[in-house]
Amino acid sequence: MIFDTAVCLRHPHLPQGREAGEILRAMDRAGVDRAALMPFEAVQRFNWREANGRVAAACKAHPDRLCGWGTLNHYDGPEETDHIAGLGLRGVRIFTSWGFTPGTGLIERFYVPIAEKCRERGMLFSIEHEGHVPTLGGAVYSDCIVADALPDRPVLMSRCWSWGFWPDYLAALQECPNLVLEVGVAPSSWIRRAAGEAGADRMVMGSWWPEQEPAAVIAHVRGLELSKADEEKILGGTAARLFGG
Amino acid sequence: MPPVIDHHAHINLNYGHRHRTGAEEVLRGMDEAGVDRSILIDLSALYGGDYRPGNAEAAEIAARRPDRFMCFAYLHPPLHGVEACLRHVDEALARMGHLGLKLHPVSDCHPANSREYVYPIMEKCREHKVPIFIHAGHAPYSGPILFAGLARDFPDVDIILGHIGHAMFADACYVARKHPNIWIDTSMNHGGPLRNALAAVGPRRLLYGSDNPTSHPIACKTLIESLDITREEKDLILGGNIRRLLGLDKKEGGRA
Repeated sequence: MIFDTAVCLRHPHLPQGREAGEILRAMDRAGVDRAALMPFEAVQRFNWREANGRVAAACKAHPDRLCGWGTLNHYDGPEETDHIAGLGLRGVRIFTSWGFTPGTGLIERFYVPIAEKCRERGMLFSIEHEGHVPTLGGAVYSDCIVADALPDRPVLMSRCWSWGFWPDYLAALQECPNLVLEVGVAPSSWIRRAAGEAGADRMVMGSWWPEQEPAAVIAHVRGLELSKADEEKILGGTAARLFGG
Repeated sequence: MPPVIDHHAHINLNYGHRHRTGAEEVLRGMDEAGVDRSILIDLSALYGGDYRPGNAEAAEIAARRPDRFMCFAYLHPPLHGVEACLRHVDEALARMGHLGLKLHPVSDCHPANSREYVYPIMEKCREHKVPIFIHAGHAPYSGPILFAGLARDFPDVDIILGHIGHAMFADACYVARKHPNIWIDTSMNHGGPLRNALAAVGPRRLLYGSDNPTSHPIACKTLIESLDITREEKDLILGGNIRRLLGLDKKEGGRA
């Protein structure tokens, strides 16, 4: 089973993926069985509840194919996490690269309570970090602080795209054994190293379609000459376990 | 007033191959900034040279002017191979008088946590009981999170993390707060990161460093003086901490 854990509903800058039907057709073309939708439009319009609601509606209409992330302004904290849980969404993803990044000392205050609420409601917690300099610069402190605070819960590092920071991503995986890495079209050598050092059961596929073609991510992972078991974990097995089948 | 010690100054800094800096240029900045002593680190290998004669030169300067200079040995482990590098470490620490070691992973093209190049050096630090100073904050290879494994695997070796991790200062604060054998070099950064570092580890693990002559030593000294902490805490950062880290009181008795 192929499970893409990062697909954009209503990307703020790209025309594809306005409606669920279009996303399902793209999944079929790429051979993706299941996908986790993201309310990515909210990073531009701050329409958190409206965007989360749209993802929830798409998931309810196609429960066999789609599940969803909710997102929020972290200052709204655990209360908004409850609202996301009420929509039936499977996790909270914070889009830090678009300005929602508290600094040192504030992760404990703002992200950790959200992650604790996610644990209470049986949801996943994820931090996106493209690595905007100087706010983050590929930094991993926020992931690590949350992972240290909730050692019994997975914390999903999303959008790890800047190749120069992959030594940092691997070191973070080593430092915090509950971190999970999202894989897109990253340099082959780094994906191999992550599979060797952290293990494929801590790696999930995330294309961020329409930013990357899921078919390209799948072909890339299959071209790495990993074991079949590792390939299956990265492309779907690990995500199925984390998202609950 | 306790002596002010800048733990981070360089000779043989090569400004675009026009001229190479010497101790007199470092000394000029020290006098202008009111710095009593500096730790010199040769930078020849950063520009394609050999670290071994550069370390010998730094040691000679420190031996000539012990009232103003001390020295750390710069290492480029891949350049002549690890074995040659380890032999040089023994010589630098046992005979030349270097008090610690310095690595610059991003320039010398090895990860800061490299098992091939850095772990053997860490073993030497453990054997000789000296600290290691590692540049931090530039991708690839010198992100502060790479220091975490080193700190965990060598809890008895003191590690100085360079530049508060530059733009990756939040990662620097994370690893230093978590691992008590990581010290933070304050050079070449801003007031915000410095205050973050102070909040993360307190005043006892911050080390005044300027990167003189890349940056004038007055700049960071002024930042430290502007912190909202006691006079005693400022004096720790400006010299007391590096004295404690290097055991200078024991080694030198009453000398500043």
